[in-house]
Amino acid sequence: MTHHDEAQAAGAGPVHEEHEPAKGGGGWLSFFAGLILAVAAGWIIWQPLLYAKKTQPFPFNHVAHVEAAGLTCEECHKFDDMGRFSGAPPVRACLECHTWEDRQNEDSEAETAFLNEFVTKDGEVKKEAEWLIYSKQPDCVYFSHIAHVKMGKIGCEECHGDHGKSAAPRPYYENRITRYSRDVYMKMKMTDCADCHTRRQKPENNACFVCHK
Amino acid sequence: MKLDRRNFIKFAVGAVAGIHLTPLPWKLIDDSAIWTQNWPWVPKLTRFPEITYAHTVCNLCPGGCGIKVRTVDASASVKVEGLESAPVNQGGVCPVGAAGPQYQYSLSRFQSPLKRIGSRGSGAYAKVSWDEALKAVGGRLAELRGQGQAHTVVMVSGRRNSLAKNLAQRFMTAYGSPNLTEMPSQAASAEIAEMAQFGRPGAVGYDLENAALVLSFGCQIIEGWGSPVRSIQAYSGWRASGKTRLVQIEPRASLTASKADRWVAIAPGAEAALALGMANVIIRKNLYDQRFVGAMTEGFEAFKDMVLKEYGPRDAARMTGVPGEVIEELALAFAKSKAPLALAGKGKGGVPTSVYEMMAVQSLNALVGNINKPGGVILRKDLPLAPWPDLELDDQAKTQLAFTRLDLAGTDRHPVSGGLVRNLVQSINEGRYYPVNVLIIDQANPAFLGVDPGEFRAALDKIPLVVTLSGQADDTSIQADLVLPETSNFDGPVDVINPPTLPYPLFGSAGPVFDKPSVDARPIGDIYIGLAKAVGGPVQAAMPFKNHKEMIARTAAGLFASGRGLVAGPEGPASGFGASAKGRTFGDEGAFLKALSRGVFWYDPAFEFGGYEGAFQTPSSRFEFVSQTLKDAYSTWLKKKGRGAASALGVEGGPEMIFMPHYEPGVPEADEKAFPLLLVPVEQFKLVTSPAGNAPYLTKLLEDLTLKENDLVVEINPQTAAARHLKNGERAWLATRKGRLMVRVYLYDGARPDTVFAPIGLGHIGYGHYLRGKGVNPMEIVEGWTDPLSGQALWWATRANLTKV
Repeated sequence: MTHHDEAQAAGAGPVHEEHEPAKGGGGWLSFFAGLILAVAAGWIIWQPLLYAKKTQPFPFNHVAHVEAAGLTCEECHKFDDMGRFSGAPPVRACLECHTWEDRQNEDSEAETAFLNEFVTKDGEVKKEAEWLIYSKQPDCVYFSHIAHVKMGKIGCEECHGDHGKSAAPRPYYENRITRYSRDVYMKMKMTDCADCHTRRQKPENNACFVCHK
Repeated sequence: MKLDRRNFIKFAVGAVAGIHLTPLPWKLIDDSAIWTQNWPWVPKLTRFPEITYAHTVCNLCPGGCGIKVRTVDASASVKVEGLESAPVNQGGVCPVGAAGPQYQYSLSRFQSPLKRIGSRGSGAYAKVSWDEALKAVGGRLAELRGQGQAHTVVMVSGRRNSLAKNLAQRFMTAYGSPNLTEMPSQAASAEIAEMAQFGRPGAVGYDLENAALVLSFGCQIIEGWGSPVRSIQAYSGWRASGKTRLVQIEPRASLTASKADRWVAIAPGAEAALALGMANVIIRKNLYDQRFVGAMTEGFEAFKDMVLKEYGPRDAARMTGVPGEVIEELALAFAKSKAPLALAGKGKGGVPTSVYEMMAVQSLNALVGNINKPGGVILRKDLPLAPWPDLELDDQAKTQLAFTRLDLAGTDRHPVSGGLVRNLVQSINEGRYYPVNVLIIDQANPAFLGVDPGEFRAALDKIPLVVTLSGQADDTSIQADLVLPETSNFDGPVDVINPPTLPYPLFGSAGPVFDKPSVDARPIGDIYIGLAKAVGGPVQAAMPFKNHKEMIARTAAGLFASGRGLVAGPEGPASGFGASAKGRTFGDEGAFLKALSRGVFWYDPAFEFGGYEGAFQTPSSRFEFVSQTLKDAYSTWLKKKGRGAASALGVEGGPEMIFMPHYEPGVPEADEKAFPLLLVPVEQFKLVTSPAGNAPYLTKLLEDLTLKENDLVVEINPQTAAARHLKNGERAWLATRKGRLMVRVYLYDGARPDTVFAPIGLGHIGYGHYLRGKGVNPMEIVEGWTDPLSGQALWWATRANLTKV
């Protein structure tokens, strides 16, 4: 019994013409409107809202260093004598080649800008470059570079992408809620690590305590 | 389409359905979880942490281990490891030392100088500045001195083996108070025995590593005795070489007994009887070293007569509960061993031992002539620290120092005693001689350890000003009115002098691990010097150093001047004892001090075995079976008491027994029907009884056999349990004449029947929630009796009973 019938039976005024709402008509339109907007929001719109674009301390040019200076990844991203990995090297590593006098060198504005900002007149570190790390993991994760690079013989670009071919750092998108880089969600979540362990026939490395000490 | 409520709802439903077709809900859930990990109070690692290792001395016990402290960014210590180049421990570390960072960041550490604002023990304190605190204490001290009342300032100190002890003594003497009462310790009692027999208090060490047969009279060798890590490493060496036998003589199967080659189950406290029973066999069978005894000992004839008369096999067996054949076996093995060594001193150093017992055991060593021989008793060379300038006393000080000490140490009755805390407490509670106006607590916890902690707490009520210098909120310090906290060995300078049982002299010192202390504390030397300044006048003038660091540097300079010894260094492990190692030479004092600050330790392991020149400093220049030193010390007492001199001291027999080792049963008699058992307190490696207290890591290591939930667990023999219908783990009342405590029982075959073994170190009221209120403190119900020679309370057994709850 519809609302209309009841109203009629109660003698409430003139009878409306009954019409079935057709698909694509009033109600369904609302429904689909909601659905489509939500899908758009969930797939497209939230991205710029959730992610803040940040800039790196300075536009480090990997290509220039790899090709012009002939450096390999490991010459700056080093292992120390205890096997610890340096990650993004501290400014003092840059000073192994760059000196304050290089400011005079007019080939590179970027180099001059770097020296002005991060190096003192005496060639000491003025301030540390606070790199935004694309692959930064939470404190609860224990990761050993040496196990993967030396023992697993995995190239840097396999997990990190080929930074070596970049002329400037990729834009860094920071998730406003978690403060982690968007890049982690692409390729460096726990499932990505676990999948690779499985693929390379090392499922035992997926035990909890291997990474969560 | 109308924008009405119905359409809106449909829109909403569509949106909800749609959103589930996207990754957004799951992403937001995941991100929210990660968001909770980043709340501001969650600690973060620094970006490029610099890891360094600082070398220092662990000072959680007087053992003198060298340690490496792993620090992050020079501001946080994260781990303690043993220092390989340290002579004492050579890279090893014990669980207490390893817990160093937990002591450093302990919640029960005083964060700054404090003034009490609530009632005593309430824990209500207000922060004050160092200037205020020093002025408050120094001002009161100056006032009292001016009124001729300097002697009413009492200090109770547990500090040993460091320069700060000497500084405290200097302070009190210059101030004019004779009342510096040391806490009782096994080392203090051993010093009396050593003075009596060798004339060398504090200079007796043992060449454990090279002994062939070690007879340990209750020493917990692998549970913290001596210098703990060194003792354990010596034991490991014995096992590795297979050349050394360990015989453990103890009433229960402790860890050490369980890992010894032989365990001899003896009645509690009968160690002296066993030693003299063995001496009886050795003398009767002519197995003693006649050359050594003839040339290097004094009083052998009187000793021999006494031993042959009183400690025959049947008598000794009766006194000790050890069968006569076993006593004979042990005696023969000991006398015939190539390198025999007898060790005295129950537990790990916190249980006061009868001086006569120690003398009896040392007599065994003298009989077999192992003194200054490889694997034997070593009379250590001196430590050539630079002497401090002479102390000039003003008339005030001289007058006030002449007052009788409240603890009666040094009086006719106690001529050779160090501090006697129990007498001090009695004097205060009974209002004897004069009242106490100020009590200074210096690295001591008498409200917890020692007999009658309740009496000590009652005595505090009679003292208007209680000051503590402790860094931790221990049971005594929480009763203080003013807190002037000292730094730890991580955030202040530290030194160690001659760790116990080491056969060679050793001095260790290091600067702080961090540039800034983690809390507003000061090095103890700075505190004493600051107090002296606040008191002013001759007390200030008596302090020859600007600060603690200078005290260490100027005193250590004497080591350079001596031209002897080695500075430990990074070049490798330390030289062994006896070796005549050639060390680096230093051009000048500055270079030496620099090397010392890097290497931390100076030591002199060179030793000439078999040489006795200057070794004995008794009146006869020999080992004295009958001690002339004691005779001289007790001469006034003897004159006063005549034939009754011995019994007035609690010694059976004629006066000559005062000067000779002998067995004294000791335990106060009580109704054996009401109290048929013996309560024997035992020490454990993992229970720290010093004021540092237990780090959470150590408390966590305790098994259910020691602490079950919050109940202390005591060991009893299954027979004893059965007679009381007690099952394993059940609760029981442990009662003595002094009161009762609730405990749980652990049925252990290795426990002597009719004896209750109760661990000491739990039952604190201080220290914060990690330790407070866990277990109970057996000292609350233990009864003490007086050791004749030291005057200390002995409490290694109390008559007790256990009843089911």
